[in-house]
Amino acid sequence: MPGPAAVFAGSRDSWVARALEPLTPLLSFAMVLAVWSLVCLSGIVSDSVFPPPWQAWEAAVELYQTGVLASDFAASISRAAIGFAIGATLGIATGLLTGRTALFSLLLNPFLRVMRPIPAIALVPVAIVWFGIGEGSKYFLISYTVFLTVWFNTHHGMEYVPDIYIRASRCLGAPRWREFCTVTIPAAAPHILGGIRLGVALALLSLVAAELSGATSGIGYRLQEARQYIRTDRMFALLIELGLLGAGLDWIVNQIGRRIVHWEQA
Amino acid sequence: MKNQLCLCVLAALACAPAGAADLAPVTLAWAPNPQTPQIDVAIARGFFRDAGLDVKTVSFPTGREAFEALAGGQVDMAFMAELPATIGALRAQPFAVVADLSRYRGSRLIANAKTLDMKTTADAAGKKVGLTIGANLDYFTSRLFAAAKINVTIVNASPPDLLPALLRGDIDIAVPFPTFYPAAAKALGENYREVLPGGYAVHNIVAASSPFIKMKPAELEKFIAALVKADAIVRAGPAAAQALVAENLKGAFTLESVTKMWGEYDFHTELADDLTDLLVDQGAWLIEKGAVKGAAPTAASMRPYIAEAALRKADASAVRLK
Repeated sequence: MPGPAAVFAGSRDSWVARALEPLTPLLSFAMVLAVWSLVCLSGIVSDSVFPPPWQAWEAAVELYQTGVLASDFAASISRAAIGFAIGATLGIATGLLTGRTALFSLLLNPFLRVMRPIPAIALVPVAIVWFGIGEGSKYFLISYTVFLTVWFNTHHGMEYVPDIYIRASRCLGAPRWREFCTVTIPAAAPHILGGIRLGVALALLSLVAAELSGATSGIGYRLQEARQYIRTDRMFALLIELGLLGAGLDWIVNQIGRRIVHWEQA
Repeated sequence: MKNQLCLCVLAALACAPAGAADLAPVTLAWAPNPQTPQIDVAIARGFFRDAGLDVKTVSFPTGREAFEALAGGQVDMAFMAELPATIGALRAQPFAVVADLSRYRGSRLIANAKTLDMKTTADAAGKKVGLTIGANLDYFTSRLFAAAKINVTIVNASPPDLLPALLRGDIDIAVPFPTFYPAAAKALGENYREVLPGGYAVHNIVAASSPFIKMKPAELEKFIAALVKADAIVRAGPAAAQALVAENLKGAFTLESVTKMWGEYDFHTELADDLTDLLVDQGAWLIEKGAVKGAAPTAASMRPYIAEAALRKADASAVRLK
């Protein structure tokens, strides 16, 4: 996507463009806020259906002042983190196995490919029967979604490690274990990182499904509650919170990934 | 000869029964349930059709979703318990309650004797009580435990998840909707324990959207008149109405279950002050708990959300509002 520098390319004021570069996201948000405000001020939609930004802000302040915002955030982030950790660990481990071992691939791939299209929300009733309405069912739903995504990316990355890398390491006499650790995994790392980034986003998606039942805190629960009471202002505040949380986590994972998989950015 | 033939054709057309095209369409958010036999009877006996209405029913999983469809203009009328209407009134939504079909006083607490051998409401003290937060039974339990000065831990769960949670021991007491009582009794068997604290009557109401009330008053009057006609049949012959309800529920409820619950309902299409009082108290509860912002409601502020004109025309004695 072109930044302001590209947009202003050819302009004599290119230093202005460069100065604006870090402000690109703010310009995007300002435009959305302006359109949102104009639609609300035009009066074509009711406030109770489509609340203006200032009402969503007031709702966010209200949630913050009552302590609900912080407690929900803590509850959701802990559920997402635990579910993500379980799912990502299992996904990477399984992907490493199925990607390079014919036996595991034969035994697991067909089953996991059938599981992939099943959305987390469809598993809510089963999760509640198996793990109850406590935290167990929530961890299960989040880790299930993350596991399949991370597994698929890891498996894909392992399968497509260029043969030339393997042949070169073998010509140099590298033992299998060393070849696996220093050639195969680094070659597949960008795919694994891609899976982890997707997994973070999906952890938040399944978090909302997981918090629909058996929860008395969390962003997903609060969204449901706001819906019960037709508090669209709160819904908007919570959706923005969820979006910011997702974007923040994605940024953190991306920054960590860039440091770990530094050769990919070189 | 040609003229005679034309007259015959016109006469035949005039005598033909009204087709669907001649009927006024009305969309009703409703699905078969044990709380509104008047609607089952009105459909089965063709009262709506006879009144010139083509009533199309649309099913929603909960009354809240039916209300959302009503407020959003997707349906003309909707059946629900009273709480979504209270919330809608506090949020100034475009609707009004046009009929109160039945009152149910059998809301109960259910326990699994393996976990809790519950005999009275006091046994709930310090226990985990599962219910759907934001539903009318949340209001019921909140008021019940507050009056009894009992502290409990509320656990939120969707209606279908309450029974599995009770069976697993995740909660000590469940407060499900009446439609889940037969399944709970069957699943828990001899461990089924229930307490009926009373004090709260669920009002099973029909609400109409403001545009429908304003733009189609004749259709609304015909609809309510058909319900009043069905109401008399339900009360005169409960056995036939029970059989019809059980048949429409297609196995979800047995005739035995419907018959057993019937006595706990007060079936009469009316609009009375007890509904206004309940809307006011529920509104105050919602404001107290911070779910909805605003001043505590009064009978005067809730009154515009009850439109009694159509029912008054069909049966003046059924309207008992100040």
